[in-house]
Amino acid sequence: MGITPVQSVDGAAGEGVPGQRGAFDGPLDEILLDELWRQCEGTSWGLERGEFSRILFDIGAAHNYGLDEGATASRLQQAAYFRGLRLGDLVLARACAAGNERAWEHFVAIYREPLVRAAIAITGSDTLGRELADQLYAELFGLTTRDGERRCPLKSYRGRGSLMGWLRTTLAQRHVDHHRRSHREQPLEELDAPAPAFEAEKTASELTVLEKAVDGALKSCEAEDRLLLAAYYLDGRTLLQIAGVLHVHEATVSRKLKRACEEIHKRVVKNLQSTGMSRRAADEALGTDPRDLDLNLKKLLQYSQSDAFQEKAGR
Amino acid sequence: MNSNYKLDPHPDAESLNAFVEQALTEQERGPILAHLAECGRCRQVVYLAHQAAEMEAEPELAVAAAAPRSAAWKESWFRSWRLAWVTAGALAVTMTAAYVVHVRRVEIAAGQARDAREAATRNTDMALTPQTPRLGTQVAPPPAVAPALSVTNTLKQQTPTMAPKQLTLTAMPEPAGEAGAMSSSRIDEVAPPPGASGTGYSAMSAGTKYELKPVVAERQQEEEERAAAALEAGKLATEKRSLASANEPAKRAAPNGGMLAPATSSAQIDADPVHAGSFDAGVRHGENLAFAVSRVKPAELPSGLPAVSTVKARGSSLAVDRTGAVFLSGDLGNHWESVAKQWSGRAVAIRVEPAVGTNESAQRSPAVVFEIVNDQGQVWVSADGRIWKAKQI
Repeated sequence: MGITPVQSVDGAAGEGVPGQRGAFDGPLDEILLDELWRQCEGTSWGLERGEFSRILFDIGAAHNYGLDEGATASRLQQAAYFRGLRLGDLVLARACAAGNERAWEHFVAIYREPLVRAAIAITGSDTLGRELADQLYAELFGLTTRDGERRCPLKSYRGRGSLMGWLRTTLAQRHVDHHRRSHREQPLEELDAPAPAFEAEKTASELTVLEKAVDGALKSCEAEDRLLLAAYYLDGRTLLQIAGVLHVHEATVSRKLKRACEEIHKRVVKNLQSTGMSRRAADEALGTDPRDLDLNLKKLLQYSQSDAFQEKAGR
Repeated sequence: MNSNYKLDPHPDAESLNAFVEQALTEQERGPILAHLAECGRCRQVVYLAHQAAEMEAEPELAVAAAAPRSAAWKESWFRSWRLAWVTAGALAVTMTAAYVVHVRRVEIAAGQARDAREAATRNTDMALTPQTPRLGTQVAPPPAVAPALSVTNTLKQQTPTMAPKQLTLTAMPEPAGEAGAMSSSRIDEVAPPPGASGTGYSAMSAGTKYELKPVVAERQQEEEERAAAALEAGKLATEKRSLASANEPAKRAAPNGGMLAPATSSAQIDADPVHAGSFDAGVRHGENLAFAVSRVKPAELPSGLPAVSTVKARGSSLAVDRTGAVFLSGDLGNHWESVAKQWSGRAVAIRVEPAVGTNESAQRSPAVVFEIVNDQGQVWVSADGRIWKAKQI
């Protein structure tokens, strides 16, 4: 797609881009493109301006400029989206993926050692860390091929977030996937504490009602609450770790967790009452030994695992 | 998400990293958050990536923290001192408050003592019998405890620079801010001796402050006139005391200022017209500090009457109330016991004098004797405050 000079971004503020969603049906603002081109220093890696423009277009179209599906991005929104990209890292990654020698030298000089350190930090082992880093490095270098074509994961980097962060996350993905593959013989569910011999102190119908109430309460929780509950109670993460990932204070995490638990309690009681149980009976039912319940909280909290992305895939 | 997500149920590395780095818009963040809530694998990826990022950042933070350390250190000492200043200021305020409270208490006690003394003086005047002095002689005041108001001494020996001037200790109104500086050598309450109510004497109060200043001619003339009037009225005891030695470097000090003056021999005092009408100040400082009449706890006598004269020496305190009863205390005035009357008349003053002795041991550690002056100017002495006998003049 060619890029032709058009009016300035400021002059087009608020204007939507008509046509197909996420596409450059109108040319990219030339002034903005100049600004981004100077910023990315693409000439250092032998990248041409036209190629750079095409990369930006692909990225913007793929994410619809960070907007919801179906929304139309104005020129101002497009400009804000492009300015939020790590253009320097993006250009370097694309140059490496294209096999630019100087870009690789620069990449190795900048990222080789941090990559190894990150791998060691992720695996918790020097040997495993170096092995993991070497494996990824080889993959990045394009030693793997598919259908005779050299594949480089750096091509999938699109400048959202830092390149180093992308590398760390990729390492973590590789490590977790490897760990899960190698431990497939030992499902996590079996690690749960075995339930003691069931002694029916309550009738089966009461327990079924309670299970349904808990199930409904957990499913009605908001995504963030479920994330907090799962991270804290299932994953055993500390408040500090959760706070670090979510970029909030750990006191905030603690407060939100407490609120989520209270909300679940209310909803369980409400669900029990909706079955015709009195408030007192509902409170008594909540005093049931959890081991009497046939509930798998892991499954409940993760009941719709990957649904969101599967829905997207179906779009 | 990349195009691969259609085949992969998990967000790609870029989306997860952008979530951790908060590079996503709200619209993009929601689906990632929902997926993380349900997917333990992606949560683990996020935690591990975040953990690695934190470990990577730690050395950088350490370097960044070390760089401005010197500058921070320069500020830190000032900050810490600022706290010290605050503490010092608070301490100063506390001490000032305590000082003011103390001054007020002293003023109140001084006022009460002054009232009591004036009452006692009035009673004494009524009972005094004039004693005819020898005409043509100047009466030297007893060098011991007496409520002298002005002591004129040449300070040639002690302060050469002030030698040309004749200095005097004159009673000054005590500034409120200096009352707390009273030394232990200050005489608290000393009853005026017989005849002290004359014009040549004025009552000494506990709140009186003394200041060393040059004597002016008018002042000298006034003092001389006072002394002459006192002599003529016959209100002064004509006792003369020879000090242990004219060369003895016993020094006299202002009653509460603690200023030391060279000892003046009786001969000097006799020759000095100013001294003729003055009693010695109550505190003596010798080189070996043989004794001291010091401030004692305000006497709360068993008689219930205020003490008009109090003296302390060698761990014993003696006090006389306005009825003439004498009390002895061995614990700085906490407990008093009555002393059997062994003198005639009514005791009006009590003082302490060095015991007369010429041997070297006595000079090194001279003994003291207590003296009671009755309303007729007669004197009784005692070494322990219990047994008294008339003094042989």
